Amino acid sequence: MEDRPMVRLTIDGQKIEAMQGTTILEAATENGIRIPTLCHHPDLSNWGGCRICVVEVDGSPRLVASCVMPVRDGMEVVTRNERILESRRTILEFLLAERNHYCMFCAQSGDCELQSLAYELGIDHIRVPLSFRMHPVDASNPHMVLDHNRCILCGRCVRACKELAGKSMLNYQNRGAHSLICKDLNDSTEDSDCDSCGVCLQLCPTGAIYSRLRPHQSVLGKKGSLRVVETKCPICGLLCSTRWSLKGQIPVRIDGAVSTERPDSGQLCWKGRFKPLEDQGERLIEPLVRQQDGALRPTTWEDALERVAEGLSTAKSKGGVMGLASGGCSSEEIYLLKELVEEGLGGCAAVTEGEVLVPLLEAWREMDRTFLGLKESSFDRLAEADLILFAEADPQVTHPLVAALAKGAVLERKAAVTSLGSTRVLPSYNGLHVSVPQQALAVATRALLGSALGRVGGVDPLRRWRRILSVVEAFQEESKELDRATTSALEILAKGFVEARSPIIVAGEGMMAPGDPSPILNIMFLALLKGLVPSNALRLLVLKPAGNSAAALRLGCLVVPRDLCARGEGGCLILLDGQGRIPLGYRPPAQFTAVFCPFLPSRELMDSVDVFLPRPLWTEQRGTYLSVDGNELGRVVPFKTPPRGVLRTWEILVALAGRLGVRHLPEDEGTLMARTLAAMNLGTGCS
Amino acid sequence: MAKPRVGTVWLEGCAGCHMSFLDLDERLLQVLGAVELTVSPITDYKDYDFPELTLGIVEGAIGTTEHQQIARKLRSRCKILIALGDCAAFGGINTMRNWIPKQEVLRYGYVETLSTVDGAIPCDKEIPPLLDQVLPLDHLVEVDLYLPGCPPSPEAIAYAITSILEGKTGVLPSAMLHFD
Repeated sequence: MEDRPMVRLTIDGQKIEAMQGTTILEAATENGIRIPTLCHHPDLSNWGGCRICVVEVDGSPRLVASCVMPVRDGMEVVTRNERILESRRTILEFLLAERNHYCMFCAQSGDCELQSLAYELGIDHIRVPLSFRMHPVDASNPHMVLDHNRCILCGRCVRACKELAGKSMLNYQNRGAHSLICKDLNDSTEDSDCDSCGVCLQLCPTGAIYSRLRPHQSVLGKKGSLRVVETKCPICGLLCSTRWSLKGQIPVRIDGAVSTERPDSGQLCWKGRFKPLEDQGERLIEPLVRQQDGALRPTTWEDALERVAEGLSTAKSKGGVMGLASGGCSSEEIYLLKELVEEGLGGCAAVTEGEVLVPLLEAWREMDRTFLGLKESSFDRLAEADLILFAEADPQVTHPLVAALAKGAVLERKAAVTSLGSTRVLPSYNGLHVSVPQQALAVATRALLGSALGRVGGVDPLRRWRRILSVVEAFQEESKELDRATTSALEILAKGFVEARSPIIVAGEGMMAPGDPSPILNIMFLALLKGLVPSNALRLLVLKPAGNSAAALRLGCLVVPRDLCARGEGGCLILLDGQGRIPLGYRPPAQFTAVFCPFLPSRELMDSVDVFLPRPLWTEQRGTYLSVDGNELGRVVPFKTPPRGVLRTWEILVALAGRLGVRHLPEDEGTLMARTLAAMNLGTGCS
Repeated sequence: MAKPRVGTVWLEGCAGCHMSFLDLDERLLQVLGAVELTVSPITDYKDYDFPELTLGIVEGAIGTTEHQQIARKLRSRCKILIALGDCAAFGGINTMRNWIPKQEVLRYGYVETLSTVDGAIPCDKEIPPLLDQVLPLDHLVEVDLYLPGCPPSPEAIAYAITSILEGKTGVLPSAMLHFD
């Protein structure tokens, strides 16, 4: 790219140099000369559809679209004169006359490139006849609406869906004035394969694809008056880069950081783009403490902490203390809770998703006995894989971006998607699905591993496979539990996996059955058969249940909560995460329970808890999150202020520790972060 | 010399543009000192027998046969015609009915709305019939100056009137151009 020759040209009298092969538009933009555009977007391929960017080249009578015209040596370009402006105005008037652009919201939000262009070109009336043809509106998606009446057919959404999201589910249908954007084979959004990633919405220059929350958002102010913050999204653990636009403390929109190096091209999923904008309920702003008469009443922090300290110290001597953190909490929060409860109070700490993580950790320990220091592969590998085997995973629901990357792999690189388990992953992309009920996963994965081992052949110089063989030797007897059809399907699955050049396995949380690490262990061995990928990683990605489960795994907060609860007659300190989820599915049978919670608790939770302590959202306090594969650390710098009266979690935990006589907790945020990082022991193998 | 005469009409619009005109506040006195306001909703003059005017101002789109008559008559009596507001310039929110057949609109409005009992589409000769489509003013008569905006700001209105009285017509400066 660098050694391409330079050409000299003149744009608006300014002599400039540009690399051969760049377009006039690119050359002009680089030199600070603005040419208005509409269908063009710097992160998409050049299209040349709308002709707004027309310029005059060498005085030629025919204007050319600068976004697709490459520069040439000696070229004389004029970007503005009355003829060009008149042409742009006419094009814009035709666009405005074509469909319904009598809009409600863009005038308020200023978030419409068509409108901005109309201002720029001084459109104060339309000289061509207006077409009042009705076009359909597709409002079948819970997050987005596609209103064809506002569409100018610039095709940015079509290109974004293909080039950024890799899904290619948007396209055009019909011809001329009847042209419409269509989804799949003209399905509604709901019936189509759209997974609501919203990249089309982000790049739509008009209000044709818009968020359902737009009426609320647009009254909050013009685009320029919003505060824009870049942050990581810790919701599912893929740590996508997001750009939040806020009006004061109210998030107005969340965009993906396109122009990123990541293989997902900065697309987001519906969880990251739309969920945090939704109303999540009323915030808890003062501690609630159960009084003598059994009612919960608001009280001061002093009072509440006193009560929690009292409850926990009684519990310490009576039935023990347990700490329970939700896997969406920041690493610092999980670390502090563990330190307080385990080191300080002699109790036990766990994450609520422990049931899933414990078998995973056991499998890693088993693995470590022969193959020390392995870890999971980075999720980026999905973008290079030629075969993706989903093992009891449901990425569409848990990690939509993984599903999107798999779709892209199939469409762009002819990769294969196969799956094993109770759900058929990505039905329209899936080459082979072997249906196995969850209770038979251990047997099925063993059969799969056995079959794959038989096919790998060759000599293992380190004789490590012997150990794998010992795991599968029981295969002959146990395979009886599988019917013949499943066994032969598994053989095809194994064949595909072994023959693939660069396969990767994506395991879902269903692979980790409570108390049985064997399915995931078999899968680890299977991944090992195809060798490691750089930095000692298995060809395996485990989709863990919560955004920061990987950190919990590292920090060793790993007792099965249900076991804990059976033991806990004493006290329980629960730390719900700052993402607004209330994941506590069961009631801790403790004498005393205190819960950190960002929102007003549900009635069900209210009945069984003695003290509620308000906590900030993840956007309101500093926090470190470990990516789902354990390879990347994401730091969130707070960009919202918590409501008055809500204190940072670590401050409260440290204050509580002080009251309980626990003295070893870090006193300031910097030390806390350093100690947490050290405790996570990154850079080594997984366990 | 007699003051230049100005006439304003309110067709298919919401009166918001006239309200914006009144929002000139004390500057209104200067404007009214410089012109003679003849036929106008502000003067509550209901007979559209316009005198010869220097300046005609139309708020609202053309939606009925009556609007057509008034607009044509005003055009024939004034030297300069201003389309005031989004409805006159573009058709505005009134055009919402253009996407639906006229009879359906009438039936829905007068018969099918949930609050209507024994409704009927009005057919009195006194009521001007709806046109098939609501259209901007310049699709019927020639317009000299457009002041879009819902409503146009008082500043834009003052600017237009003053510059016309100074003998200039033209285009609204981009700072005053807005559609909301």
